[in-house]
Amino acid sequence: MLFNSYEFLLVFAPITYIGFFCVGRYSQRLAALWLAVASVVFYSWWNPSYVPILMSSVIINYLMGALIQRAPDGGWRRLALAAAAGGDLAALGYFKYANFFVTNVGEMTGLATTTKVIALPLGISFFTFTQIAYLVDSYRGKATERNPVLYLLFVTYFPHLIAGPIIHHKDVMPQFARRDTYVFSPSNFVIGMVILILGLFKKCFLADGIAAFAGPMFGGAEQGALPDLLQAWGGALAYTFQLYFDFSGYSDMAIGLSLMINVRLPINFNSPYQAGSIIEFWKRWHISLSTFLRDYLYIPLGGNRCGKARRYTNLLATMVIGGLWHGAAWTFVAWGGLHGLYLIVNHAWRGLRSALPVEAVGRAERAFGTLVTFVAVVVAWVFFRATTFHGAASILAGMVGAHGVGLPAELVARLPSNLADWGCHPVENTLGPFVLTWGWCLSLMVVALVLPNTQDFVARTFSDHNYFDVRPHIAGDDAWRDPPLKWALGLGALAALALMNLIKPAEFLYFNF
Amino acid sequence: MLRSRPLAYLAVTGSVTLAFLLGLTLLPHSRYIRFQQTAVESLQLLRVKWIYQRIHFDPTPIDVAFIGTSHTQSSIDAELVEAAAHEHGHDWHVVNFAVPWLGRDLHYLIARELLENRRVSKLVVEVQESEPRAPHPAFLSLAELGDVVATPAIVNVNYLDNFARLPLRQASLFVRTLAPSLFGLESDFDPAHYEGLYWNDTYRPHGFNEARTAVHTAEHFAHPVSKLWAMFESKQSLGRRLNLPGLRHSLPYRYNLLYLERLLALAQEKGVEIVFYFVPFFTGPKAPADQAVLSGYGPILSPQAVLNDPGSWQNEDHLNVFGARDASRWMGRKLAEMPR
Repeated sequence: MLFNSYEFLLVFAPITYIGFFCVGRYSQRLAALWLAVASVVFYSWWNPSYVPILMSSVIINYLMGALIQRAPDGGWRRLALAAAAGGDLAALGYFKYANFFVTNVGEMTGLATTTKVIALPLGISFFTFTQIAYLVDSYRGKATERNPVLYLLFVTYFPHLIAGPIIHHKDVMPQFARRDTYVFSPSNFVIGMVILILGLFKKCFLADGIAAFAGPMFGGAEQGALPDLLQAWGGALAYTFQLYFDFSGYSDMAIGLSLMINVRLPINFNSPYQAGSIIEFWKRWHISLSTFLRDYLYIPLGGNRCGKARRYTNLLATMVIGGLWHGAAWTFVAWGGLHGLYLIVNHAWRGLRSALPVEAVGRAERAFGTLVTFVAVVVAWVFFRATTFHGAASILAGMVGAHGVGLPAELVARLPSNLADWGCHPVENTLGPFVLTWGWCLSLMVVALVLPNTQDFVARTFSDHNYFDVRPHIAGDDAWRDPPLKWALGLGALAALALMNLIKPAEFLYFNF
Repeated sequence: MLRSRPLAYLAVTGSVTLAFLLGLTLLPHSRYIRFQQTAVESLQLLRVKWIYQRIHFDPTPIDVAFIGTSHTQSSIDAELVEAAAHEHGHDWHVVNFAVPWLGRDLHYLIARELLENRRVSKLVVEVQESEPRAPHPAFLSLAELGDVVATPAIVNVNYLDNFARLPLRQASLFVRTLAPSLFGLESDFDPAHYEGLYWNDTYRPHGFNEARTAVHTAEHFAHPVSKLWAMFESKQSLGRRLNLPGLRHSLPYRYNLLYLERLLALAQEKGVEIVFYFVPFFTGPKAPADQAVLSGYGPILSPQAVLNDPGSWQNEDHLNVFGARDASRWMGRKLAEMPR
């Protein structure tokens, strides 16, 4: 079931919420069970055949978590953790990477290999990582869950189940232990609804709206088309904004839906395209994943504790694995590797810069850093979106002008005649796509680079409380600030534009990962 | 009071949402843009732009008009009908306004567009073995706002879906009307983009989803009889599963009959002679299920000799170019022979 569908918004969500608060008046345990069952129904809506995989994973990890928590410190405890996490990774590897591995081995060895297409269970990357984090936290003594229903709810909780944010037991489950979580809170409900509306608008109107201008350029390049400078940049920028508004819209919806039942989820995006450096970008983009990779991969690998060379190696390895997590393809490896290199260069520059006798970062330097970071991120997205290196190379060649600079003939007729000297050539019948592509790109650039993000808007407008802080305290009704009426009008308009587009629900891009 | 404030705010937001959706729904647009946009959205509906142009921008009379589905699209060559009628002393101008899929709601819209704007002598309405349950998928694309609202709610399985789609359709058409060239549409009729008097699809394989330049030769349609029988068996098997006892009398099946009745009533009101063109599937029944009702409106013509010849078919539902040639000539002759 998609968040951006009528069956979810008009049937599933109302029944689930009303049931939760009604049952919660009498029994917290039953309300938690209700929510867990609803979450499994939510998951099974796509394909019930994945439910046994999900449930097996939940049961095994619950038992292994209990084993780790009860095992004495030392070898056995470590062995239990290794076995449990290894099992999770093996399952993920089988479903996600088996075909990729067999195909590549076949190509390298020249052996004829036959592969059966293995369907990727929805959300497996997310629920596997969530549970690995739980196992490690159990090992470290930071997480304990004895109640199987609550553990089931922790993993399957529908706002985060399919595409995150990746949550930690210590952040979310203490909230389910609170009595007031089960009591309807008008302010939490309405602010959750506001966040949901913003997320819906981002996904249904912005991301799905600009998607039409990304797909054709990437598809054409894969088929051998040679995009010119503006086409290549237009398509790459369109995808850059599509991905951001799609995924951050989904994350907003997840956070909003959860807040409506008084449970806070961690933020996943914090205006990443406003980042002044790649290091900062990764503190703002898919925060729950980058935090996971830092805490459970980079730091255990040694982090920055073993010298520069080892640090850079760890950075590269972490980002390559992060790339591979997104999908079983070499283009994802290239994307991760590229970001690893970016981070290495950024850390090296940071070290160098601190040695220079220059004052603190000024506005101009910050703006330059933002520009360079943005361009670097867009270039990397080309590998992320392209399905072949040939397609990616063709687009990148277009982005540096190797395929010329085409302009709509109607536009060329109105421009100075010496455009040809600059390498521009007129292209017939392209004014419409040109204007629409660049109109969308420039508009969304303003939204992404200038306007406040969801959490900033909510904090400024609706409440003094930080609804994105997952530390277990719940804002009460007194948190409501009585926002100006104009925002009700604005939000109503955004909701209408989002709902208008619900009739053609498109899956979230991160469902594929 | 304090507790109710957020909910009051939410109520205001919700009211604005509904008002905004209503406002979007009421946005105006050009009807020509609407027909063009429908043609853009589906290659199979490419003809609807031409249908609008033929009705509104081409002054050539329209004496005989065919309304139907891909069965008529594949089997009626309007020029051949004209030629056959001419041999019998009638200088008629014939048009084939069939579009794929059987849905009487869309047939009604096209017939209304025609009859409210042109004087027509004969309206030839295709009938198949029985009326379907589902509405036409393009109804919402071509319908006026009032058509969507006034469609019979209980028997229309798409009623709520159409309502949900209206704001986007209206907003999208509004934007396209403001700046048609951005979307590859025309604000006014351009003769350079007009197909002409005829749009003959009898040389195109069923599906009509290839570019129109991909016209196939007659040999393309010559199927071995065994293949035709295999297609027919498959269709029969599906039909047995779908036509469960009593299903045909269930409420949603009334939907298409209601629109057929509206169409026929409109034709009668305009003084147009109604003729039914019966083209069932290969080896289908010899008369439509609703023969008794239809006969009250006009004669039911069916080129049985053509339909009985396996060599006339390109698949289990559609005549091939040979069948179309024979059926068109037969139809022209039959129409000409009908008493005035």
